[in-house]
Amino acid sequence: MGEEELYRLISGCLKDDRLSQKLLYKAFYGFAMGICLRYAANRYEASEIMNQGFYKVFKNLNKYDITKPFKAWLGRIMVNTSIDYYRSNLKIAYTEELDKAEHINDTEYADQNLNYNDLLEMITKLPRAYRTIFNLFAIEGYTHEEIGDMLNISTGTSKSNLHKAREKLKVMIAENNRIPGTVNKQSNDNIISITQQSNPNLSVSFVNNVTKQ
Amino acid sequence: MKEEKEDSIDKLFSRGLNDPGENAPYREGDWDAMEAMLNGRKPKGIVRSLVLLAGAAAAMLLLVIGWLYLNPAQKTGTPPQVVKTKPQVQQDTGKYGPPAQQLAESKSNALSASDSSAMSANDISRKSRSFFTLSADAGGRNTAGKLGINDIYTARVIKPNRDTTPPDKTVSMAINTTKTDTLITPKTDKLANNSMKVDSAIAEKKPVLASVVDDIKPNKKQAAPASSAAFKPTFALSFVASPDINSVKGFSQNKVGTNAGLLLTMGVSKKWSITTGAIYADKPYLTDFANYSSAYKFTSNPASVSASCIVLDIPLNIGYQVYNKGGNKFSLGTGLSSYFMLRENYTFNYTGVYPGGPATYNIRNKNKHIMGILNLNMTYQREISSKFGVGVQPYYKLPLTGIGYGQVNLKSAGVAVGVTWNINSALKPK
Repeated sequence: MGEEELYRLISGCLKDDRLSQKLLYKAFYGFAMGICLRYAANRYEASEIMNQGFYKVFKNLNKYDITKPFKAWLGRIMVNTSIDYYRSNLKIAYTEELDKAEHINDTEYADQNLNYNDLLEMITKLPRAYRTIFNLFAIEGYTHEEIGDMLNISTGTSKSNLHKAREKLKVMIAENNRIPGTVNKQSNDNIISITQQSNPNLSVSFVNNVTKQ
Repeated sequence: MKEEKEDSIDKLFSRGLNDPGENAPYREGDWDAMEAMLNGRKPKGIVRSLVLLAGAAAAMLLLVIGWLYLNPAQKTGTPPQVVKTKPQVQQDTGKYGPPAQQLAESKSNALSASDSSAMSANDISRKSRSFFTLSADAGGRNTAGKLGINDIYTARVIKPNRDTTPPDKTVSMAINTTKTDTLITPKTDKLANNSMKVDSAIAEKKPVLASVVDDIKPNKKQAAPASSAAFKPTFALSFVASPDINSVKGFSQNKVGTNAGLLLTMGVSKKWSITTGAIYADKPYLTDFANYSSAYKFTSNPASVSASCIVLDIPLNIGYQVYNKGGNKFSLGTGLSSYFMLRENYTFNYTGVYPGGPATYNIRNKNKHIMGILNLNMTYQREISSKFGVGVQPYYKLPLTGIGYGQVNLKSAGVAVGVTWNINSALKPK
């Protein structure tokens, strides 16, 4: 979208023009959804957060400084809305113990060939607190002090949660490498065809390799 | 080295998740929700507001249906007192013939038996205000043969034709109906099961039948054995207190009462729970004398009656959880309450200067209404910790029988607040 087009839409939105609002919404939908998906537990939650964010955008558009990039402003609002959502759904979230992490080979993670959906699935599997802190630190680039202020937790908690989040992600990546293309799959069942034509009296049994061994 | 490695995992996610590309395609439904939000609704969560809306709609529906079925327009002289239960059963069987007679009739004529049971179910539910008449009717049904699936349909289908067609002349009934009705032996468990299933399936349409079934012990046992076997039951103890509005007719003349009590909730499955307990309630009300019935003949009728009743309320409710996320639970409940009238103080207000009758009337421990009140409620519960929660519960209590000495149609609506202690929980907290 050209800058001129963007300004036209913004000025339309400032006049509460519904069509301009829809076009702006549509234009930044993917960008905003990308942020919210990282913080939310699922797509429904993500669209809920995103809409709350866009609501803030439309209601506070007069506060937007037109000399600064719009995308960054919108992105910050989406992150803040995600944090608000996290706070409003806050449970006793810092109690989870770190799983017994198996030894993971030193890998150069940045070289991993993982696509968007794989990564999103992994990050979604993290507990909400870990996910939020990992997002804020690793992707948004906030410092632990800033995160502590945002989430009302100590810097130490932020650090330890980030560490645990990374450990969990490493385990997930390692599992993903073992079984390429699947983030988490455990299936040991043999599947036997039950449509045997030759012998109609064939009895069907399900053999589990693990238990048989 | 370590720093570098961690930096690299951060980079992997930062780069990989930077742009969703085609993975987050635009959805028109999201804009619709956005537009609704912009159209003046508060920026509430879509999911949450949908749940609230659905909950409110369901509660309203229950309320309306309950009202239509359980609050007939005409007040008849049917005695609503508890002690009248037995004579009512006898009267029923006398009127429609003993089981043997019904059997004979049904053999000779397909319709007569089924129609008479249909008549009894319909007529009684329409005419009577007393739940006991209803439960007696259910007992009568037990002796006269279980109502099966087809009978319920029969009852509904025949209703409009009943006035024009004499019962014993219509022959065009399905054979199934006769079969169901003629199987009178108490061993017809299967049929009982069927009738139970159907009753619960059409519970929305026929709350009267549903509540009747709820009260019959053998049927109740069959209600949830499978799920409770697979699911470890959970127990929670709640202390609740509430103000409520008591009113006899409409909600124009109302007084505020207070309630406090203890409730025990047993979770029988992930979604279903049973609640019982004891609530001590002060129920004051004011009503026109027209709504008040008394055996005493007043020389000049009072204009109105003010009452103050102390009631022990023993509820037996079932609850269904419609929403459970992030420590917020939302459930809908219904059930029956028994009122034990511990104290009833009535003050008669006269318009004339020289009252021709008594000024007050006090009773203690005289009236009780077993399972005589229908409860409808919605509960919102918020977890404070894995063991404790707080809750808010708007509720509505609808009498199925006349309450107290004056046999008034005493309705209560209020909002209870309470704290809950989960004695044991099936799921470990995350």
